[in-house]
Amino acid sequence: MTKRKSELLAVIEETEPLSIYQLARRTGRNYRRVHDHVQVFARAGLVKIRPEVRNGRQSSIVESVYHLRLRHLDEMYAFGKEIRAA
Amino acid sequence: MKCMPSGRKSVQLNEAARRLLEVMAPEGVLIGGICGFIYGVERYTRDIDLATTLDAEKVISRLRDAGIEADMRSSNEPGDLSWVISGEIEGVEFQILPAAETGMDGARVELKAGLRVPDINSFIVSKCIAAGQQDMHDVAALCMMHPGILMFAKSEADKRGCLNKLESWLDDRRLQQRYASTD
Repeated sequence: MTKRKSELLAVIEETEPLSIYQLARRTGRNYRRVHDHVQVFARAGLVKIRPEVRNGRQSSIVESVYHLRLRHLDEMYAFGKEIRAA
Repeated sequence: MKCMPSGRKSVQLNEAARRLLEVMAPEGVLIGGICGFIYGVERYTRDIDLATTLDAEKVISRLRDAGIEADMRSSNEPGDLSWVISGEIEGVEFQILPAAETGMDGARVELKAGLRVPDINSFIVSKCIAAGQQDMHDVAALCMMHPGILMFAKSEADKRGCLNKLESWLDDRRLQQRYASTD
C-alpha cells in the first residue's frame, strides 16, 4: 500500500465514520482521489461503504473494521439487555 | 459478522464509552471487554472499564462535575487494586481503575473509531496483569488473530505467572476455529 493510501486508511480507522466528502476535507485531498482509494479499500475488505442521508444530502459513509465491530457490540449489548429484561 | 434481529432499538454501549472518555479526557483509556471487542475479540460485555492516571479524588471530582454519581471502593488487600470507582453513565455500568496498577501508566494510546484505547501490546500487558480465565481467553484470541504477537504475549504471561492458563486457551479447538488467522 502506498504511503498516501495508508495515511488515509489511518484517518478512517481513527475517526468516527465520515463521508468521502468529509474525508477529502479532513485530509486536504482531492475528492475523486479519496473516492478511488476508498473503493480500493472496500474491495480489499478493509472498509465498508454505506449510503446515508446527512443534512438532506445522500452521502457515502466510510466505516473501518473498528466501526463495524463497535456496531456489532452495540447489537449484542441490546440483545443481552432484552434477554435480561424478559 | 452476524447481526441481531432487525428492528431492535440499539442501545449505544459505545456511545456511553465515548461519553465517559470525554469526561475523563485526556487521562482515560478504555480497557476490558470493549477494548477487546475493538481488537476483534467477540466476547459479550455489558460494562465499561477505563484506566486513568488521575488519582481517585480527581476522578470523583470530574465525574461529579459531569453530573455522574459514583462510588469508590478502596482496598489494602494484596492482589487487589487500591481503588475502583464504579457508577453508571447513560444506563451503562462503568468501572474506573488506576492506570499504574493495570499496566496502563506507560501505555501507548491509539485512537480506534474515535475511542482512546491502548495499543495491542499494552492491552496484552493489562490482560496478563489481571490474569483471569477471561483475560487469558482474550489474549489467546488476539494471538490467534495476530500471530506476530504470540511470543510477546507468552513472555508477558510468563512474567506474571499465567502462562499455563494462556497455553491452555491457545490449545482450545473452539477458539482456534473461531479466531485462527487466515494470513
